[in-house]
Amino acid sequence: MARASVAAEKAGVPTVSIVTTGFLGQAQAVAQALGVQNLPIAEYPGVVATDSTEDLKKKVSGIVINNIIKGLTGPVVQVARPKEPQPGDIVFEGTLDEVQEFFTRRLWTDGLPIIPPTPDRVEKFLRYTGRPSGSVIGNLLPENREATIWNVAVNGVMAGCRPEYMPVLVAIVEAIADSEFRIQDAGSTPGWEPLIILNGPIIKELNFNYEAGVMRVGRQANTSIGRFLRLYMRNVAGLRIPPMSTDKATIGETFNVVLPENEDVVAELGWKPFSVLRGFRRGENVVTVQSVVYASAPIASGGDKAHDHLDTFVEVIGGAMAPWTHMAVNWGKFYPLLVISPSVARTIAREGLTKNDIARYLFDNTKVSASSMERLAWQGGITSFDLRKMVEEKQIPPGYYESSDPTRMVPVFLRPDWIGVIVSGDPGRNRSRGYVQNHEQGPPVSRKIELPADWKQLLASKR
Amino acid sequence: MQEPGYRVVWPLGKAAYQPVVLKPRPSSLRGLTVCELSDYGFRAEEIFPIVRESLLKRYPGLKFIEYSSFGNTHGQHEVEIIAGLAEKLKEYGCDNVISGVGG
Repeated sequence: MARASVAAEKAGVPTVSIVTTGFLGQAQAVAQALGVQNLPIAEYPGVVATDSTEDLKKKVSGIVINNIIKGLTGPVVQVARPKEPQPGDIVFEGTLDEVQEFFTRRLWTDGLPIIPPTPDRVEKFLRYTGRPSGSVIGNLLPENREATIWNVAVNGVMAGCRPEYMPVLVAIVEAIADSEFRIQDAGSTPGWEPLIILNGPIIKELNFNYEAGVMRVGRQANTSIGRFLRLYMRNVAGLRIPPMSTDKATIGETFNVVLPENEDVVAELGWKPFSVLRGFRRGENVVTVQSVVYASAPIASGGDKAHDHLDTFVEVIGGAMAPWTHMAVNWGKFYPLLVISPSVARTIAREGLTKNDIARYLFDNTKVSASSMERLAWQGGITSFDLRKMVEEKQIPPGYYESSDPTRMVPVFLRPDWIGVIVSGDPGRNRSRGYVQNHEQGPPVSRKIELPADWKQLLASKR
Repeated sequence: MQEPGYRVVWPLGKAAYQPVVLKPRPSSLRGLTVCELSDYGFRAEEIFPIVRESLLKRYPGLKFIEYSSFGNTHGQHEVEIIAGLAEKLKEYGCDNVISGVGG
C-alpha cells in the first residue's frame, strides 16, 4: 500500500493512505526508505478485521474521512533525514560491555551479545572473497540500504561466524537481494522466517550438521550462519521489531539454523540433491533461501511399504499445510518443503520412487474444504477472496470451483514441482517434518557459492 | 588487569534512495478527480464505497476512478502495476489518490 502511494507521489500526484493504527509506523518507515518523509496518512483507528459492519461505517464516514481530507488538502511537511556514518567509519571505541551497550541502544543487535566488529576481524572475512569490499550486492527493502561485501563481513563477525563462512554468507545475501525473494515483505504479519538450505561438498568442509539435531542450535556453522541472516535482515534490510516498526510479525518465528542435505544418503538412493532438482550441477556448492511460516508435527512414519509413509505425509504434513493454502491460492505461489529422515527415504526409494514421486503423491491426495479456505482467507485480511471469480478469471485451475457446494474438497498444493524434498536428520530414526512456505513472499531462491581461488589453501591453514 | 578496548565499525549500509519532494496540496477537493488504489484486502471493498459516499456529500460533483481500474497494488501483479502507475494516473486525469488499506 505505501509502495503504491510513493509511486503516485513520485508521479506528482498527491496521495493519502488509509492505514490502521497498528501499521502507521510501518507505513511511514516504508515510505521514508523510498524517499518520502511524512507520507500523508488517514488513520483507521483499531483493527479493521474485528470491527462490526456498523463500527466500520461509523469510523470511515467520520474520523477516516476527516483524515483523508486533511491529508489531501493540508500543508506538506518536509523532514530531512539525519546524517549517518559511512561504511568503514569507526563508530565507537570501548570495552566489550560498552560495545554491547552501544550496539544494543542503537538497535544494531538481535538481543544477543555480538562479537565486536573491529576492522581487523572484518578484514579476516574479506580474505575469503575475491570481490572488492565496496561491491554492492543489491539494495534491501524495506529500509532500502545497500547490501555490500563489507557489511556482510561486519554482520558475519557480529553473529559469531568464522571467516571461512564468508562465501556462504555472500551467496545468502545474493539470494535475498534477488527481487524474486521479496525481502521487503519479510516483516509481514505472519512472521515468516527465512530458511537456508545447503548443498555441496562445503557441507563437510565447514563441518555443518545434517544428522541428529539438525535444525537445532548447537553446531557453529549451522547456528551462526542462521543467526547472521536474521541479524543482517535487521541491520541492512531494516526489519526491526518495536521500538522500530518495520517488522510487523504478529507472533513471529525466530531464526532458523542452516539445513544441509545428507548428500551421502541421497547418492546411495540414486536420488537427486535438492540443488540439482533446482537446476544446478551435482557437486556444486549451492545455498537456497526460502521462507518458512511454521512447521508441521515431526511425524514418525512406520512400515516397510512406501505408501505407509506417503499416506502419513498426506494426513499429517499435508494437513498442516491446509490452513495456509488460501494464501497460496491468492498469491499464486506455494513452495512447501518436506524434510525426511534417511530411514524413511530408504523405505520409499526401495520401491523405485523418487523425490518427484513423493511430491506428486502429496499434490494429488491433499485436499481442504472450499468453505474452510474461503473463511480463513477473509479472516486473514484477503476480504475479496472468491474462488468462483478466480476460476472465471483463469487465475487458478477449474478444480477449485467444480460446484458451488461449500463442502467440496479442493487442492492444497498449487504444483507438484513446487514441493521441495530434502533428506536430512537422524539416520537412526524415522521422522519427517513439513515446512510451510509463505507464497510469493520468500519463494526459494538459489545461488552458487563462489569460492576464492585459494580456498583449499585457506582452509588448510585453519586446521 | 585492564580490559581490552575495541574500535568497532558501522554495521548498516548506505541509504539507497533519492528524496521525493511532495507536491503542494490544493486547498479544496472541489471539482477534482480522485483515484483509488487498493490492495484488495482489509475490507477495502466495504471501505471505499463509504469513502465515495461521504466525500460526495461534502464535495458534490467529485469524480472517482475506482480501484478496479488500476488492479491490485499488493497482489500477484504488484510489480507491473506499480511500474505502470504513473502512466495510468495520467491517463485517468487523477488529481489525487486515496490508497488503502494498510493493516
